[in-house]
Amino acid sequence: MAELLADLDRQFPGIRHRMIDEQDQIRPHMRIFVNGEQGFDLQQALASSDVVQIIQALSGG
Amino acid sequence: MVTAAKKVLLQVATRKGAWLFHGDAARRKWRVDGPHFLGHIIHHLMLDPRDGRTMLAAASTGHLGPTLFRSLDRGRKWQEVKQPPAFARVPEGEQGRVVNHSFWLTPGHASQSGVWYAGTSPHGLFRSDDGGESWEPLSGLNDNPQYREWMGGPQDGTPDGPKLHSIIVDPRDANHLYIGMSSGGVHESRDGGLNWTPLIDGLEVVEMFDASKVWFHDPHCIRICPSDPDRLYQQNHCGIYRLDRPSNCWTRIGRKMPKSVGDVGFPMVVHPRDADTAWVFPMDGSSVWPRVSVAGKPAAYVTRNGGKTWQRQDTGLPQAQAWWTVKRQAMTNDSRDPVGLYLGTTGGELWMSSNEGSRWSCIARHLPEIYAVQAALV
Repeated sequence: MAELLADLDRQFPGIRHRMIDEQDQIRPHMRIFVNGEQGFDLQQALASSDVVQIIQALSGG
Repeated sequence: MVTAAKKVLLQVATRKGAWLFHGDAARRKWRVDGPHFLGHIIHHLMLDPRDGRTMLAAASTGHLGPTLFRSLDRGRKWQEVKQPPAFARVPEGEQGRVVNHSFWLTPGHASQSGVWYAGTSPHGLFRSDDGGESWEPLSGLNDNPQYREWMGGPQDGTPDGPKLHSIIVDPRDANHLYIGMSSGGVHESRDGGLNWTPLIDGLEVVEMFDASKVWFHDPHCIRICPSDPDRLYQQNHCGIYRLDRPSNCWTRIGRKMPKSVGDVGFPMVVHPRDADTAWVFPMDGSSVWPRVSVAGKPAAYVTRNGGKTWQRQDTGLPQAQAWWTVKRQAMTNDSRDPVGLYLGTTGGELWMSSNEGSRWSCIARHLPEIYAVQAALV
């Protein structure tokens, strides 16, 4: 997962910091799903066939 | 220096985006440019007076982490900066801090092009040496154990987080800095931010609390006088103050405000050429602290003698049933002669006076909640 996020940041500079804070925690309102299962561990191993979804939960007025 | 020929650019930061207002030479007509970053929370928007074209915007949203945007052409095109303010990462198992948003932006000293300072929520002070592209924490403050204690925790700050604000660079000395922390007091550094000293003598705190405890102090807005940098003014949670260096003791000049109005408020504005002249915009601090214009009648108050006396300035403003709140960054001035004053309300109205507060007029209505207003001559 960490490598996937690093690769995303290479393609879209700055995107990781807006999803993951400086203490390597997933920010509030950000959710990461692997094959439909929610995960919070950035060290989680991924297989090449895994589907990763990064969801922003909007709330408030 | 009087720069009457220049036009005013107003930079308006709101809870839902940023707007720029370009004034004509007479400051009567305003051309609106915006929204920029619609949907982003823009906490502060600041043009660099040293080059007249670099502009920074402190931004966050409800779901994405905080960032800064930078423009090199005075707000026409924007790019996200490479490395926004972020606290140092701590070893695994320790509790590290996370920047929720950058709240305050201050360009560095005139002799240090490219240097900027940012104050964050929670309390953090950051410096950029490359025009805002990348930022480093000033650990002399951020990681100082004594200061961490004074900064308190999430329970001690303003409703949307404790804020480090009012970053002031002495125009005579790039290493002489002031900051305010809400809550956490006023502080001074004489070595560019490596070491800091509290500057709270004479300041009052909420009744029954101990004024010798730094963490009880809540400066709302501190300003240095450009014409006399030994003089500072402050709107505090507990009154309006003046400080004349080298003294370390603030004087509560708000005691001379009308008793029926009081001396509670958020912004403080100083005259660019007359250190005896300053403005406040009082808020109701009675009972449960409504923090709206007293009696629903908005008014600025000006002193022209360093706080010995104050005069009400409400000509042109609504005379009844106007329950305005004006936040600490939402009142400012230009440096023309006569001085222009500008303020934004949490109800999304933008007002100005082109004659130092004698008469007010409305520039815009129906904007989102206004957080900050800055005026620049361009």
